[in-house]
Amino acid sequence: MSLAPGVPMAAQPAPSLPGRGHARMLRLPRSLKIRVGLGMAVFFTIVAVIGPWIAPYNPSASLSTTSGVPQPPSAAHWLGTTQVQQDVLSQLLAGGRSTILVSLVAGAVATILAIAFGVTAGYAGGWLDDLLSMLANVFLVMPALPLLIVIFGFLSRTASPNDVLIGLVISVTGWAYGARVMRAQTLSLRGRDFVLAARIAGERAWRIMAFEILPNLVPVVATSFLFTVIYGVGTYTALSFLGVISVAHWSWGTMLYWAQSAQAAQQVHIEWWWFLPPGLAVGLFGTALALLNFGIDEFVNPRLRAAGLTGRPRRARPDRRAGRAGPGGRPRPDRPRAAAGGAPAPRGGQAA
Amino acid sequence: MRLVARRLALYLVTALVAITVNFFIPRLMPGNPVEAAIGQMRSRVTPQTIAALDLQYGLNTRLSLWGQYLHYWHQLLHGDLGVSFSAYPATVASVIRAALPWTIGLVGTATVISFALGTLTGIAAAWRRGSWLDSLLPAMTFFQAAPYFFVAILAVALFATKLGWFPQNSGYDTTTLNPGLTWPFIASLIDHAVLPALTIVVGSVAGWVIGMRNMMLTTMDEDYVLIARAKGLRTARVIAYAARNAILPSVSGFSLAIGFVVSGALLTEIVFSYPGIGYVLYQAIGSEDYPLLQGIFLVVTFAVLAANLLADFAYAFLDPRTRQEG
Amino acid sequence: MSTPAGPGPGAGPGPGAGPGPGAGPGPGATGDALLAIRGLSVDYGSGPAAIRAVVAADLTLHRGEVLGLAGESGSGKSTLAFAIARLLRPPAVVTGGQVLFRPLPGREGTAAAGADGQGPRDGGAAGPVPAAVDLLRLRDRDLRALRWDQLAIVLQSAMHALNPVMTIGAQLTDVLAAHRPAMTRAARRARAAELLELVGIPAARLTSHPHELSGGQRQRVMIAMATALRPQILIMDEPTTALDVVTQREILTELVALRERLGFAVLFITHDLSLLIEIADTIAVMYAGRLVEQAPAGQLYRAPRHPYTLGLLTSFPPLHGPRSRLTGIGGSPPDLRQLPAGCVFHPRCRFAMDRCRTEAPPLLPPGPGARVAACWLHHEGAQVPEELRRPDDAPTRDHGGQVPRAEHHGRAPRSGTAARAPGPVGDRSRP
Repeated sequence: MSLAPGVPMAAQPAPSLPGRGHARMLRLPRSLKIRVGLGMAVFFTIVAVIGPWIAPYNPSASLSTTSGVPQPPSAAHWLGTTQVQQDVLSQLLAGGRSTILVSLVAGAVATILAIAFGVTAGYAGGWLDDLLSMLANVFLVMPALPLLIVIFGFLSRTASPNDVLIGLVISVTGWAYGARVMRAQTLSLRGRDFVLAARIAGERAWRIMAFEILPNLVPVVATSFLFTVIYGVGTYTALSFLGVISVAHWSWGTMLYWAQSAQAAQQVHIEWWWFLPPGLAVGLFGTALALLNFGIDEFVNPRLRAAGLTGRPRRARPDRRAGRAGPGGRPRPDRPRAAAGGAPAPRGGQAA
Repeated sequence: MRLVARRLALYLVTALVAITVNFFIPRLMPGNPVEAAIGQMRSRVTPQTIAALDLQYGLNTRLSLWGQYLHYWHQLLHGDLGVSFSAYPATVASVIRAALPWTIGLVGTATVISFALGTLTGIAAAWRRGSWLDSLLPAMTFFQAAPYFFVAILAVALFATKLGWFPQNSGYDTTTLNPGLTWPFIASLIDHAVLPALTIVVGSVAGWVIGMRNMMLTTMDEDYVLIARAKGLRTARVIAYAARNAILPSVSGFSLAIGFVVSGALLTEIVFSYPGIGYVLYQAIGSEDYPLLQGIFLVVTFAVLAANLLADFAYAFLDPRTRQEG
Repeated sequence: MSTPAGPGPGAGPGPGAGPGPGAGPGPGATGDALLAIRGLSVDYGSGPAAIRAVVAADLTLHRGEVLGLAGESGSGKSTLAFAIARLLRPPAVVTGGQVLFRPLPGREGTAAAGADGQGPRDGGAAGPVPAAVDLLRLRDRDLRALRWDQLAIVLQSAMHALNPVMTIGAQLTDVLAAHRPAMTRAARRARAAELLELVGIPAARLTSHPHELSGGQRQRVMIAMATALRPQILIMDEPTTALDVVTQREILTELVALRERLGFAVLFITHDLSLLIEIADTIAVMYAGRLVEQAPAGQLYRAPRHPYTLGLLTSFPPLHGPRSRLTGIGGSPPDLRQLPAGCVFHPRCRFAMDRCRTEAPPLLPPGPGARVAACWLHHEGAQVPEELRRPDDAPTRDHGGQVPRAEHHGRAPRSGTAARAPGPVGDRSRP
């Protein structure tokens, strides 16, 4: 096998979407997973934008000095209070912005890095591919969280943390998986006729990568972005929970930090209103993105669909094994027409 | 064994990168907080220790960067990770050595259980596509997306605090027992490990389930599975035909997962005050114990690389195509 | 013409097609029909969006016969074959029909006729014909026992058909372990070695994995595996398409030799009609999920009755004889989701009439003889074009294609000593 050892088969080129596929994807939220995931993700994003403005209290303010015991939810404090009588709902709303902003920045930057490294490696081949693949593999096997702890540990904790900067640092450890998938995909596209044609036509390498190859990577890019946003949420929350990022900077992770410091789960009267909302928020936001991801996976690979969820037949495949190449790369002559779904050229639709 | 050799080279490079990054981070960060930390120690430690720390962090030294780097390697190769700020006079190495068995026992066991359980469930979910197992996937996805430590907090609140089935924290009953190969101690050990282990399994199992399910669904469309059915083999045998192939990506994807699992497990330890590396890490962060932080980073990295190597051997064993020489 | 193959399905008994030696059981008696497919339909998906991949197919495979199934991509020929063996995967579903399998009387082994409680072990070929079982209604356990024991399959790509992580030996012996539980491990091993030697592969290869074998070797392994239990039926789905021409020849030679020896019947599926003309006794042609013509190989080649068959025949150069102009078939293969009304072939048919656009033609004998075609041209009132009117025993075709397979290939079914006269395939000695 010419693939780098250890590349999971799942990372091998998934069937790329035909050009027409983009249009189909835009009006496709027929899949329950995509619909639910999209709905939740949009909700969380709205919360992130308006959260700090609609928060009823200042999340850091001690609203009462008379009690040192967290108060359960009440009319005044819908999600109760913390030990020092801060409003949990306000913290949740204020912390959402930081959490989602960091994860989106991390996801976006990591995806851009993944595209840059992956497509370049796959397209260039040779020593550059070897070098970049090695780099990606190093970042893949190195445990990210301990590294980030060391990095953030040495960053001064007195300065007010900058969410964009945090996202950038996290993205450095999150691009490698996407790069590997995109490299594999690019490698399979590199030999296709439309890329060869562009090369023979004297097209410059960056143009081929940007206009011939990249449009075919759209599902992979989307998956990679969602994957790294999930990674970003988890990592940022973990770092805040550990207290390596200023514990006065509100995020869902810092809320959990304070709840854990006060042993909210170990008290005789469990202070569930303190740790449950931020934890559920992180989990549900991640679930939303994961559902979107599954939806895209199933869109690309219809075999993954659970039988119950889709009543309609998947694809017309009168003879199974649509157009698989036999050994030696010869396409099966028995390729059914209907299975091709009227999508002959795997092009992105852009002009060459 | 070309695969293993190539992977070994990768791990060596990774270790090299990790060690070098570890050296440079304190030197590159703006407003180095180590200086202040060392300053605070000045009153209670020997001048030799201060000198060693200064050298370790490139403070007040005339040595060139390259000289410092060589010195760093020299110390490292002698197993010297410096002294711990918080546990002074204990060395970083000794602090880690005390905590490591706890983590390896807990995380190792939980990972093996999670992998086995997840893989088998994934096979079943794929074989009975559309069954009730598929309806578990969203819930599993939530536990996968939720941070391990949140799952841990929930587990403590429900099973330890509320129901009282398990102890809330620590690795064994420290009030009445002394470590040793005695039955009460081992019983206490298991009693304290069940809930953290369960948390790690719940947090990580979904990844294996989903990965194996998807790979099985893809593999079940392969001709050799069709032929296995056509051969009139028993269903279990047909499933084995597919599973033997579908498991390969799971094994090779182990390297991706193990880093997450270990990181998650460290956070789980914190919630349970389990006396492993994670708990030490938490305390090191709280007390700004930089040498300990860095030592833990290196040790965890090496442990993850070692686990990867084991997975590679397993892969080479399972896939005859990689055994081919040349 | 001595092909003893019975008349086409639904056509009723035709007069003996020629003075063949020992035409087997009397005409009309389906005594030598090993597998009778009746009205088999397969859909992909369900509801109004379902795609009809196979529509009411009737086909009969006789003992010892090579039945060729030809058609373009997506014509449903593989779907039909997999439906027979009940190996279709969702969303494909059989929506109707029967697959009647009539095991050989007195055959040793685990014949699954037990489904109707009637053991076929009364011995003697002249004994009563055992009742046929409908494979589509067989219980899972009986189906499992019957699979491979009576009906084995060879697929196009042995690379994909062999499990990449198991040794050749393990894949050969697990068939024996499943169906011959009495065999010891050593006996299974010995039998597997013997099977490999039979197809010209050293027994040492038992410990090899598929990736260590060449493409031709892999396909030989598949054939060895298929014959391991001496099945009565071999379904071969494009078994040589993925191979180079030389290897293709060798494999076919192997197959012909094995069949002479073991006497199994073959359902041979390919898009390559020229190949079928060489090795098949009878050829059935499919188009858009429908059988459009069926005839003895020689007749089909010399005197096609369906315009589609004619198109197929003129779209490849004859293997033997002088070159001629290739005309092929105009238009593109049908979209199964939007089939035309009437005869599904009419948009591409240069002889199409008004009737073809509204009414689907039935599969009927176009004249006297053991053959059928589904074309209105052969019905009263139509002017049959000259190309589709050649006599069944026309000596040669006007474009010069020499009859590639001489009369000798017909042989009595189960007549132990089949005609040994070498055909174009059989006469090549294996290297």
